[in-house]
Amino acid sequence: MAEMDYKLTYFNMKGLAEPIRMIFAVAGQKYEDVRIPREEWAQHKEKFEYGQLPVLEVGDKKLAQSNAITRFLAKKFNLGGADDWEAAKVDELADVMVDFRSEWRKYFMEKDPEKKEELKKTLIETTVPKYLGKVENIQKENGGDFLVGQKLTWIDIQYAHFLEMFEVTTGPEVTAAYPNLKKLQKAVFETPEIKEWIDKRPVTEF
Amino acid sequence: MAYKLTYFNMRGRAECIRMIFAAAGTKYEDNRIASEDWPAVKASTPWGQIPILEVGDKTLAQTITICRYLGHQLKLSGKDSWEAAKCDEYVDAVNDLFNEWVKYFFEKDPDKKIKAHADFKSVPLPKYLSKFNDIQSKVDGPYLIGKDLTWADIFIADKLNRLQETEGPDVLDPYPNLKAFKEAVHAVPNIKAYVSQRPPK
Repeated sequence: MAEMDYKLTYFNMKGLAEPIRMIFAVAGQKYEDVRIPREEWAQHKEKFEYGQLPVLEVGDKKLAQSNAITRFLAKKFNLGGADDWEAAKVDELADVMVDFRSEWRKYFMEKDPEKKEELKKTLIETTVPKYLGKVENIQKENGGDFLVGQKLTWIDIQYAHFLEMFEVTTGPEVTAAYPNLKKLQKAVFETPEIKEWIDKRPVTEF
Repeated sequence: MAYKLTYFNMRGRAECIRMIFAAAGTKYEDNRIASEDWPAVKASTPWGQIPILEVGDKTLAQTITICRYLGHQLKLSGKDSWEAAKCDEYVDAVNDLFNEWVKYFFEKDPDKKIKAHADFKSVPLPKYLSKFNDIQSKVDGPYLIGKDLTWADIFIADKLNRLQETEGPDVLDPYPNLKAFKEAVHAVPNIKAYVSQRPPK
């Protein structure tokens, strides 16, 4: 497919779109990487399904919802798992990440400093072990670098990136206890095409 | 293929899975556990949650993942990869609405609940129902994605049914395409037969 057949629209940040950009990088697939400045969002919002980003355009068709987009592209580019069962185990981990992010957001969005400290304590002492502790074991028991099967899938990319975002926004203590998750991040970020993308991507805080 | 679904003895999050099995005419063990048995079962699940699906000697967790997996296995996931992706998109969007419903419905403080309910009815409910009414109006046929029933249609119709139970049967009246869609899914012979004999609640 030619470059203009894929168009990804998001904000000028990594966030939910970054795993998608990394998939395009691994696949060596050109695409239009549209980044809407925050101050312009209000005037564009109504054009997008559900008033949310990211949105993927493939030719004249549109797809919304970050995991739907990520899964669609991953399958197309052989990053979806070796068979239906692996694909399902990948999906299971994606759903777990959705749950974890939703808990993390409660801490992240809290404005009151005292409440925020309390929420951070709960996050690090309870929520992180409950979710990431289990993923650490899954990575360990799978053997090798990846979370599911023997080769890179979109869930490896997603976890590697989101874990880095948690480290940046919340602190290194989020992943400090999990050497296998760090091993996973290393394997993903050192994948040549992803490393090349990281080196040249726009620099943004999140 | 030996399928075993484990959940509480209620509809809740597992009902869409049961409806997918029903639509496909596929047998499965519908393992309903009592509350007092939950702690022991919980410890044996991958994430301390149900529903879980056992497929032979392997276990799959997370409701939407289970629905998608069965949708694919039982040929209820659309005609191509694009339709499969639209199934994913629509279910994720409706799940966002459902999460808003959960926030209000399970609020314990009575005063907070009244406010949360009002917020739910004023913003996310009309936003998503009108969006999906519009989506359905553009489809050639009764469903949301293509000509044939998909697991996404079943998931969404079940959630709409739940909305009618808690918000009143007329909650879908302003959205005629969506109302007709919900009725069309529930009129599918296998689903209709299942619904007519399922345990109440």
